[in-house]
Amino acid sequence: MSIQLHTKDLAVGYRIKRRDVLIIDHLNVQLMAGKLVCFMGPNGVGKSTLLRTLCGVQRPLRGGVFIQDKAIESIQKDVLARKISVVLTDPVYIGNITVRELVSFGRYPYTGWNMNFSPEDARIIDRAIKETQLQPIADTKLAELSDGQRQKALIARALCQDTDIIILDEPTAHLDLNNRVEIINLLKHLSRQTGKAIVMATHELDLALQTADELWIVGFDKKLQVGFPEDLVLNGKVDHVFQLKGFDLRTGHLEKRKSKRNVSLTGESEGHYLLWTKNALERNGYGIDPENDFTIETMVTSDKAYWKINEGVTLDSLEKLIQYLDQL
Amino acid sequence: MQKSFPYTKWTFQLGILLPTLVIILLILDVSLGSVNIPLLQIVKALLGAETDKVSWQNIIWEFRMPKAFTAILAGATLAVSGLQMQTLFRNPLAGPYVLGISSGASLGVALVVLASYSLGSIFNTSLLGDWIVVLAASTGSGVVLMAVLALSLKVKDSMTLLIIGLMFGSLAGAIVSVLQFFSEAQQLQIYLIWTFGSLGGLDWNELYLLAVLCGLGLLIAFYLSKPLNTLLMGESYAQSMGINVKKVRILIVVSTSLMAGSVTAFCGPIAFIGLAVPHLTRILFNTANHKVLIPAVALSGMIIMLTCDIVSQLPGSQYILPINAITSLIGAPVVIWVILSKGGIKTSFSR
Repeated sequence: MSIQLHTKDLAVGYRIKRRDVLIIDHLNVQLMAGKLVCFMGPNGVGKSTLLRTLCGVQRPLRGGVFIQDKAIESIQKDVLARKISVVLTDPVYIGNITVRELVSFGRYPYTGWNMNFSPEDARIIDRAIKETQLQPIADTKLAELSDGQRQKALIARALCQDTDIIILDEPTAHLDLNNRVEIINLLKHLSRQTGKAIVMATHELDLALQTADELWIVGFDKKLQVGFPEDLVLNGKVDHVFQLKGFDLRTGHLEKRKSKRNVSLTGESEGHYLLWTKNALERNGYGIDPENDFTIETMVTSDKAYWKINEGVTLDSLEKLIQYLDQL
Repeated sequence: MQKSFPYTKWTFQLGILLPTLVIILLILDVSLGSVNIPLLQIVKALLGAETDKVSWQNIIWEFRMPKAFTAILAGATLAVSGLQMQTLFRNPLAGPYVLGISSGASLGVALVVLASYSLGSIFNTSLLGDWIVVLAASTGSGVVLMAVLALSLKVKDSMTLLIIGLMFGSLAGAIVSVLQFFSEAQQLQIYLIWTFGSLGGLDWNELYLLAVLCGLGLLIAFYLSKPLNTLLMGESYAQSMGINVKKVRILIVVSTSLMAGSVTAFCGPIAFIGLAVPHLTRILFNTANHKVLIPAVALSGMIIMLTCDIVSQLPGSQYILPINAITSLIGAPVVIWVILSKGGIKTSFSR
């Protein structure tokens, strides 16, 4: 596994009237080929500033960014464009070009002034469109796209730039769950298939925990925590940074309210029926206690599920079960 | 798969139609005027053959052709300048004059014409007057442009540049107002006539100079098609695609200055073309890709300017109406009609 990018004692921030505003200090991170890194932190903590520094748009206050062991500021702009591609939060206000044209912009670092594409370029453009599954709308104008399709087109453009490193700043913001999952899966798949090093700033903690190879977490203490996602959850670093109020990430539950009643769950059925029954009960304030005499049995037949209370009443949906319990 | 993108079949059809239209309008423009010359003789003269009357040849080659060529140059360059400004500032209201070029030229002309009581007589009588006005206009726009250029080296983003350009415009306008307040009626008239704009004042020598300056500006614009495309996505994206945004910004200012500056110096301020032609062309070609747009906008600019020139000389009459008024007079309704019927201009600048 090769290191595509690393930083040496990097301090990022900006300079206002000769005064340095330090945002994140003492950064020593590495980006490995084939890994997806999710970069998380509360709003205003400087995620975008760090990403801008990593891709060379902004100068660091101290320390350095190295692309494959070369200092980033010593790399020519057009050469750098073949090493790092980006998807930014800047709104892209072009309506009347096609998806294919937008994606083809990614080949510009490889073409002359008159933008003639070689057969190789055309092949890479087609591949980027295919990998993002944009073929059906490849010749559609951007103005006619949904937010999700537009975001995928921007990702395809970055892919088409064919760089070892891709940096994305909140690519899933403003998207619905389907699109978020699709885009994160796409990035995961790309890092695996193409060996690209991908960093993505995101607020999707749940999705990040399920897909990221590595988490970068930064809080208002200006320190970046790097680690394996599950390790960071278990040692409390994630909770510390996000100060998740009333949510226990380790158990995955909102803070325990006082239970209305404790019940015990039985049933030999498949795991996920039990899981969601538990979820419905807990969400509505019922505690689970295997020792309790009040039993709820989950029964699953071939196509339907039933819930039997104290060997008596049988209900056929969780909604009815909760309503019944609430009336007791 | 569409292999020839960004060119479509429609692009190729227009690519034949528009140049043909330019040639037809050029012939039509040359054939109209206060002296009636048969069409056949016009074509003969244009092909270099002898016409029945020597005076006809004279009229065509010394008066009408320079004017038509000026229209072609002014149309193409003002339109391309406008396109560059709209893309650089990502603003549909930008035009070639947002950097203060016309304000600078007006100030130069106003200073020379209005502030110099004693020179008044020169302007009416001699050819020298023409050259002084051209010189004043180009010096004025040159000074403003140098200032804008110097500032564009310093400013971080294009929006600051836009505001500075607008401020220069206001400043120059205010000084011109003060000068007007203190000047004589005769001087005011000379100044006003300059602001009407005129395509007819150039002889071949001036035309060669204009052609060289405009040609240089157009070449730079063609060379900038790629950076202009990336600028559509914003400056950060452009930079991430290996574009040196600062250098490109300066080249755009230089190209616009060469084109809009020289046209304004020789023809006076010509409104509307630079703002409207890029929009009409984007709608006609249905693209924002500069590889298509730059030649397309240049051709459309020629067509619209030639049309305006034809209208301005009121067939059969002695009068030539001010071109600056005509461009807006026939242009504005056309633009309103097109944007209302074709779903608006905003697709190029928003989602």
